[in-house]
Amino acid sequence: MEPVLSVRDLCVTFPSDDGPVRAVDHVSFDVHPGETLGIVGESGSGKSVTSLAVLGLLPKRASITGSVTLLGQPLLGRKESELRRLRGDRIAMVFQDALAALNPVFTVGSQIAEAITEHHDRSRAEVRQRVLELLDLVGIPNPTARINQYPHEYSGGMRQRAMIAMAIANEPELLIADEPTTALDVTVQAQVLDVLERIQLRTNSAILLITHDLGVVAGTADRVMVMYAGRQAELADVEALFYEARHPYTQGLLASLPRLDRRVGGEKLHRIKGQPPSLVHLPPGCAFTPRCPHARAGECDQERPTLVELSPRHFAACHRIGSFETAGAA
Amino acid sequence: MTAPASYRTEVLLEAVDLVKEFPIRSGVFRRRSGSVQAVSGVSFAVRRGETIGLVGESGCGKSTTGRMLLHLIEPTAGEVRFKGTAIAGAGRRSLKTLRRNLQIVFQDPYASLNPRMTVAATVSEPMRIHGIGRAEARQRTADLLQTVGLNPEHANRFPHEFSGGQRQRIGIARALALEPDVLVLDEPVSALDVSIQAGVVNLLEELQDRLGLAYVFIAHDLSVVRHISDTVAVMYLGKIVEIGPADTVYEQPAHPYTKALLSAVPVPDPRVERARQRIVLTGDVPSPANPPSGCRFRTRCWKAAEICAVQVPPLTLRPGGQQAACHFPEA
Repeated sequence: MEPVLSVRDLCVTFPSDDGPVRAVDHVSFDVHPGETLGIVGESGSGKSVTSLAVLGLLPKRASITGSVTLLGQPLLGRKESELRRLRGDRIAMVFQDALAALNPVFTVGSQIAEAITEHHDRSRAEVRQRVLELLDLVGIPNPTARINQYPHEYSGGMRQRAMIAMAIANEPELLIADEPTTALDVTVQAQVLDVLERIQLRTNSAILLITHDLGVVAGTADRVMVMYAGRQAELADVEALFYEARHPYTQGLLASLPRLDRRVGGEKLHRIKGQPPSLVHLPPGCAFTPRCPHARAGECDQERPTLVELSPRHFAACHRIGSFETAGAA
Repeated sequence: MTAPASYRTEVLLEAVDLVKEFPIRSGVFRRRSGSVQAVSGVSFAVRRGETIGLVGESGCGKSTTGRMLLHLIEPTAGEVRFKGTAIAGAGRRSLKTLRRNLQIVFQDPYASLNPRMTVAATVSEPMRIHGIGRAEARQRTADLLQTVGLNPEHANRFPHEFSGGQRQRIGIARALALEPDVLVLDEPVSALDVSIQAGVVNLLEELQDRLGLAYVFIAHDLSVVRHISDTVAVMYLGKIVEIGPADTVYEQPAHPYTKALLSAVPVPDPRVERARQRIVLTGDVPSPANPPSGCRFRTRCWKAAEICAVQVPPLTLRPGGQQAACHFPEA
């Protein structure tokens, strides 16, 4: 099957007062139709920058190398006017903060309508019909009244759903959702995740889901990519990642999570020692070396590990794989 | 499961029928045109060495409750008792005693530390205010930094030189400076990355074991709350809807809201997560300025009947050992 999105050796470097900062470092992955790829990592791991690079939304000062291919066509280096034609039509984005992403002085209905008319010639009646349909699809009650309201008249969960309606207006092949539920309460998060799932079933879109919440990933992703310090640590099918994690960072991350569904009576949570590294002063070799329980001097701190396929569809970047136990979360 | 020993020990802090109303002002003259009841009659007790978790979604009143415990926000009605004595009014002296025994750690480790004060100055400030000599304060500051896992040699650094997790440790050291009995922890780990969270949670548990502290742990992350709490209180629109031993509340929730809330939290385990029955609530939390009559959850509840609109359900003891405020409890 032809991937919707294909990213190869993507590198993004920003200039800074302390020298160049490589926010994304040789990242490669594919996303297929109907598939959800979860990208997880902590703040500064490069997950959001990766998605912005795909959309061509990074500031000019960022230098980008590698290749990004959408439906067989290269995206990097395209003219802004060409990108604008793709964005909102073939590829769309759901942001974390809906209040900041929606324009406060236009009605929600007119903003969704604009997403359609930007790309397609439709009569006013047709557009209105489609907007009502979209509002209904994302579960906004009473669409005929809501279509004429402004973003501030919507609640947080409804705004997020309105933004999803806008993103899917043209049934894009690729939907990028950057922390789409982080700002929401859990009961509302459940509603929004539900909407995303229903829409994917209908349109067969590929979804790139960026989040720091491993619970959300466990429930919605088909494959998961774990990033650390701008690099890929591990990439695998969701079950393989949770039950047969191979990278020490993934293992540490999974072990450090408290669980809602069981009592870890009196047990201490697993703790990854140290702090995430500063991207300006990355340690040589593997970036996780200073925090890694399995690191070996002279090996891990010398050369950067490359992403290796350990078993079909399961990749990890670690020199020491095979020398310690595979451990999953369960 | 038998009740842990802590259940039988001394009650340190009690909240009795706490109520907080905030005025709504409107018009050019900012006249009072109504009020929002952020907290409507909340009661609970915390014992030495015990943790009570206060959970609920935004706007449920959990943070307001936490602040009323310290009289950072003056309750409209009800009282806070420390070791059986009511902290009456907001007299300066009684407040000073209260804050010596009761301290708070805030959510945002970036906003809650003064960027112009060194770590040493931040941690020793409470000691200075409470008249502890400089030499002793210096020694104690070094000890405290050690206790929370920071290098005492870094005492002369400024907050910006520390990471989020380290800043939260500074906040904890400051809260411990006067050797309080009770800590109110308002979302102490929500701003931290996952790999850093575990270290701070472990630190809080170690401190509790060692110093016999009581914690009021306010958080929206239900997994962290389960890990750390002995008792859990679930709040909805200013009221406690369910309160009881953590295991009971998590394993046999009696209130429909608790059940829905727990079912909505994603579990980091794909097979478990995909097999779970999720209760997706319709709609949003109603405005606290105009809460529904009777049971406040009834507008989103799948069990709601006529009585729910008419009668406020009181907290009643359930067979599992928790109390729930519902006309049609689950268990």
